[in-house]
Amino acid sequence: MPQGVDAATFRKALDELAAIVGKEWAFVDDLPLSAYRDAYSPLADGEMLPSAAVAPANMEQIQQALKVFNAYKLPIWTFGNGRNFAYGGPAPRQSGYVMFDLKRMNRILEVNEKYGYALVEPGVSYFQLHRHLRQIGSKLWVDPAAPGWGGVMGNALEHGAGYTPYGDHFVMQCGMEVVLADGQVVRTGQGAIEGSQHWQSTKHAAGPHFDGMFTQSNFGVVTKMGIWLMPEPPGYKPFMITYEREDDLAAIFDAVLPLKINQVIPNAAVAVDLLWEVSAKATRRHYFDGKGPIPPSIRTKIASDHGLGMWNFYAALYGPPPIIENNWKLVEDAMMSIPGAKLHLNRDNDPAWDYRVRLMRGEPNMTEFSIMNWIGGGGHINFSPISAPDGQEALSQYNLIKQRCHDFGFDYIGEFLVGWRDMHHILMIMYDRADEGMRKSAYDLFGKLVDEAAGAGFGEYRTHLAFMDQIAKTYKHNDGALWDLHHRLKDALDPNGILSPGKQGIWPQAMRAKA
Amino acid sequence: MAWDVSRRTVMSGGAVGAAVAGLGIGRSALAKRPLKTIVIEEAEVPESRHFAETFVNSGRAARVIRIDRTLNGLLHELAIGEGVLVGLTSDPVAMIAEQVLLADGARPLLQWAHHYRKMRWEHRTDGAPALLARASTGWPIVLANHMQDALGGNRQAAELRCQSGHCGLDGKSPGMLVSWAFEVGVQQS
Repeated sequence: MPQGVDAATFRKALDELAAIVGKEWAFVDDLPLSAYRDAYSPLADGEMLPSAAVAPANMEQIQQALKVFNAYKLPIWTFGNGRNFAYGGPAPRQSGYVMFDLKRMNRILEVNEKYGYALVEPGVSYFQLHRHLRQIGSKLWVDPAAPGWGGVMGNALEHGAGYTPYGDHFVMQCGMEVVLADGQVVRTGQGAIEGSQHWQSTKHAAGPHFDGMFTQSNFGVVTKMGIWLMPEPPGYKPFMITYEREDDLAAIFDAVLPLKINQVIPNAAVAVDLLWEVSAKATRRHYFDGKGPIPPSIRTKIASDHGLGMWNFYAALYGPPPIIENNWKLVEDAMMSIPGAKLHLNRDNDPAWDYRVRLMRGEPNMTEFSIMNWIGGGGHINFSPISAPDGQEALSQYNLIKQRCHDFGFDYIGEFLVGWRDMHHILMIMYDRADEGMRKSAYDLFGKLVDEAAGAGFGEYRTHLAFMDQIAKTYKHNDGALWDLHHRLKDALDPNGILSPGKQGIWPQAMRAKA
Repeated sequence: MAWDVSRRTVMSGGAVGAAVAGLGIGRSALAKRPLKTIVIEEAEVPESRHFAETFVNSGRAARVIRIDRTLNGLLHELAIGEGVLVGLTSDPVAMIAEQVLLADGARPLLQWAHHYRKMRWEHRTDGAPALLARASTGWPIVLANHMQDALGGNRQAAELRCQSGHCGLDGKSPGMLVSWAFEVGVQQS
């Protein structure tokens, strides 16, 4: 039950909601609600469970449902696909919330081949958009997250990343339609001009940009979003370079930075550590059945067995073949100058190579889930500090985080991804959900990393539900002025505090003291 | 709707978490009429292939759906209309299948866990511990036969654990597997 709501009132509210969305789209029973849990939660069983779920079919039903939620002050948790299980999947921030499930709204409203964009609803997945583009004969690519069952809109709203040159999904977003808590519908940018044909072509308009305000937030329900799509290039050259030593990380990023900033490497270049890379094709128990991190001698054997480096750098070049070959010389000169570097332009029967090559050319797939076999038992949470792509900074982050992983008995399993001028460091803390001690250690390790990273000046760019409050508190410049601004906006736009309370550590006034 | 699976049970974790808790099988629903059985085979996993082969050889499988290592088939091929989907797969495949099938209104019938550690397989199932313990590397065949019996209504309610004798692990095996069954497309009452 939602906090502060008695059973009779809740039943009455659900009856009203069922009348709006249809009885078959209002769920209160155990089995259908089980689809809304975080299957890989780092928390003990029984936390973050919904009280009910409601799935509207269109914007009008959203508006009507919001009236009911406001009238009964029911907290809701809005999501489109809810597939990102490293960050909580569809689960609500607190038990008792009503799931506001938008995956019935899964129409691809427009594909514009000339200007290279699509306009989508919240439930559209990467697979769905990819299939649609192929069916209509489009030459546009999607930029899927890995894995590809996630939502185009949801991933962009959560600041997610992909692996083509269009890999920064929020940057590639253009134009939103949002239903505010009071039911008012707002279109951002040129969408506010009646009859505009340019809503998805330009982000610019008179007045402030509001799109960012509706990302990683709880200020409105986004019902339509434009996303720019990359035209299929005339040439594509994926490559992997392996590096022998852990300390090579600094040299890798010092070499990458000018190639990225000058757009010689246009896509999201990624340096993957040995264990992440090998986990798509082997499991830990094949090499080491003991407790604690894998010894260096075994790491060396793993690298040798699979032809891998301690770091494995993936990127691709795109465009007309003469341009690719010209740029390739620059890449080769810079990246192959590091002693021990080995170039791979193809790898037979290597699932990790296969899925990354697919991702870098915009083909959604689910292969990355295979890496969960490394430990088994499926649990994982991603710790994701963000910084500039500097070699020494990458190496110092790596050494700090690896040491903490080892202190808590975990292997370091991670990757560094370089965007326009940013470096996303993704540490995947893997654990067996059935091993209570391991799960608790993963939770404790994550909490410690948040504080230590903040102490060293690194913030996370997104996080699991369970750590949203802790991470919000690390943004403490000028006595937490940024979150104070978030809270002032929250109170103004959603005075009853119904929309996803606690999302990203933004709580409505009535719940703030407890949080 | 009257589901005979409790919320506490279903929500107790990932694929293996749910298996640990054990899921109550809808015996009455299955006993009413025979449903076609479709086997999900994870092509890269040797135990999954042996399990599927046993179902096929017994004449109980109407069809086998092979999932390659992209795992994409889990999103596109599980819409079978009506029947029982069964599999012995890696934990990630079990999790993805569970998510897809629950969202489509399928009903979990059973989930069992099979974990290789310290040179032995450890099985957590309902019934057949002695057979599985003796089976060593041939355990997927025993499991497939046992699951056919369980789905036919011949099943013990209590969860049982057993360990095999010392045995090796195939180089292609993930070493942590889940066997599972879902009933699809049958109106719940």
